[in-house]
Amino acid sequence: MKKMLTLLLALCLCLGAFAAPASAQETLSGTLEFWHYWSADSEFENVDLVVEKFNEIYPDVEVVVTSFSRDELMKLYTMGAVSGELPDIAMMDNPEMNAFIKMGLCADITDYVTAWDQTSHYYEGPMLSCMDEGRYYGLPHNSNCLELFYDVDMLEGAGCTPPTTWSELMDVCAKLKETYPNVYPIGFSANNNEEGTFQFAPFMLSAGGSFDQLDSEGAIEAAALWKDMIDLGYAPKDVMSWGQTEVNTQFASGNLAMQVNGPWNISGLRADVPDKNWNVTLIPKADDGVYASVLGGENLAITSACENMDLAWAFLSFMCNGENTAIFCANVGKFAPRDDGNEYTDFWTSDPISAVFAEGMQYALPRGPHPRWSEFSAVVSNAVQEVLTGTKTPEQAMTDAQAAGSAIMG
Amino acid sequence: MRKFFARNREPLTGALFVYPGLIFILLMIGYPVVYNFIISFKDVDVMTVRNATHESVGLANYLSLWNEGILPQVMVQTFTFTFWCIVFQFAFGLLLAVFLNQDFKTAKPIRGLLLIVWVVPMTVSALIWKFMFQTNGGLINVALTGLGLANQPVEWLINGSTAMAALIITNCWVGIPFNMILLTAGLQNIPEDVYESASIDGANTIQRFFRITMPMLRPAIMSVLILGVIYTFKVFDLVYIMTSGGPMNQTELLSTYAYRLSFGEYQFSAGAAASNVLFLCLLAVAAIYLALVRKDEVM
Repeated sequence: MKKMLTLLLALCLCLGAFAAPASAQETLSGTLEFWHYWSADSEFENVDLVVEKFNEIYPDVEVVVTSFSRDELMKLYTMGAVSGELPDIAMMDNPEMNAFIKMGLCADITDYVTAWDQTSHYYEGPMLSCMDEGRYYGLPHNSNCLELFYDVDMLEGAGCTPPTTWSELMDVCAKLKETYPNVYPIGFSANNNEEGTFQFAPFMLSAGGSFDQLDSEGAIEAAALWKDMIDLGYAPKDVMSWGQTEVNTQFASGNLAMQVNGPWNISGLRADVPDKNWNVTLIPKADDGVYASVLGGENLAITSACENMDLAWAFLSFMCNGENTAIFCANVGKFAPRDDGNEYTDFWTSDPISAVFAEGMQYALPRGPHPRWSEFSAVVSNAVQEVLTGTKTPEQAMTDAQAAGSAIMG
Repeated sequence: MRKFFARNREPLTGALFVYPGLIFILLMIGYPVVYNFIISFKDVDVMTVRNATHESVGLANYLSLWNEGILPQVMVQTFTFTFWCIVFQFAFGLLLAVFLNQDFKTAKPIRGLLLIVWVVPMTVSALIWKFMFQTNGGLINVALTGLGLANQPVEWLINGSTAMAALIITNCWVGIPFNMILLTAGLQNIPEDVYESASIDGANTIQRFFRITMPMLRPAIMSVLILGVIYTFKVFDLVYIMTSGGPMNQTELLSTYAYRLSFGEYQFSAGAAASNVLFLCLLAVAAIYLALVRKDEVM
């Protein structure tokens, strides 16, 4: 009798396994926890929008969306790696994702991703940040990069056109400084955390430097450029304590004529200083270099604590499908990490400012992926600070950083 | 059985009062402390956290923080920060307490207003002071240059020593009202007639202050100092917001260092080791306090 039952049970399970993909549409039900650290109103509204659309197809699924501050959420994930208290779907910053994969936070979803017909649409950089040793652990959801914002009136007043190379940049700064002695020509974030590394990257990459080779000529030149801008009074020394938000505030209030910053500031600037005449151009390239930027953005992962993988994948693949990704990203001023974004919205071609970022996206290189990225990043931002304070020469600081960095990255 | 209860009524009641709290403390505070000590002797970081067992590495985490990390520097900075904070906030707190203990009309309202500073969330204070300490356009530099006290703006948060000064100033600003209120409570416990008889005996103001006020204020002073040291030593939010340890780690304190190691760089063992150093330092302070209190009670 017992044998019979076991057999029957096994048969049922097999049948279930075969039946699942076909009838998934109707039978999925349950609750999904989704944690994120988005903070803008537009982002909240658009998450809700996606959930609403998802519920039209799967009315029996309840998606519980919870928002946290970024730092708080990272802390919760870290603790969750030990305690197992995790949501089903988790949003992560792309350079940090690899660490979370290594900590066992993310479920291996390779089977789902490889069977999905939309996988080929993803750009390589963002997708790589979701992968480890050839396996998939999540999907990229949105991307961004850094470019140069400038005050059109001030540049015109100083008789300048937007700079395209480092020499032009220094020229423009000199003229701006002369015309507007009370305004700093340029601002960026050089603080001692990830933001400092993030902002330094485009300059370093443009001059031919790379994170693998911090002591290369390009990286040293980039550090020297920043140091010159500080020494000549083109950028305030306060950049060493400014995060990107503070840089943007200074730009908005007219204390900076130009700033290095990302597309997430566009809607805020339009709303807060509607009369300000500003525009965006690519970050100037090194005189003998190439245009470069750095890839930012968020990935979504199914966590290892998720009990209903089919359900979680249904939501993940819905939220990340071409249409939903494009609409979400366009509505909140970000970029789709996939090549079919323009099929669903003309936002990135019709809006001139977004078009600049859209162009910059193709030059944007990822950070990492590496499980010890944060540790490494601290070395980079610290080296930049050593240069800017004059504690070390650019050569010395970058050589030391390379030694410390390669010890971490192995 | 009933006899047993009847005979031991008092100890049993006592146990009922004591044990729930004790067990709660052991679970909620004791367990993390012990757990923290255990992982500080193991190898737990981003690469190994999911392993079932973790290799014991003895004191390696402590040694590497000491030799290769910046632990010695961070400890010196933490002690410097604590020392100057305590000196200034105690001195000004005592001055204010004595001043506002005088009998004049606005004493009470002023005392109340000063306390607002202490009630404002640390995050808010830290943000406001960070703005005020900006090199260009920051209120403090505008005032300094406007009054001719400085020729050019001071780069407060850019240089290590001035950034530390800025943190100390901000922490004192928050700490002074706290010191003042505890010391005021102490002052009001000193009976008026002691002063009266002293003045009849011809003691002047200075003599009265050092011979009567200070000795009689001793218990209050001790608790103020101990609490102050503990609060200051483990301050976190202020530093995290104003400088996040920068520039170049020169304002990194034990608390922010431990946080950065554990939650920023995922070096859990190293972070645990750093927070244990913090724990041991505070344990020493607590032990000194207990010893002093015991001595007082014997006297």
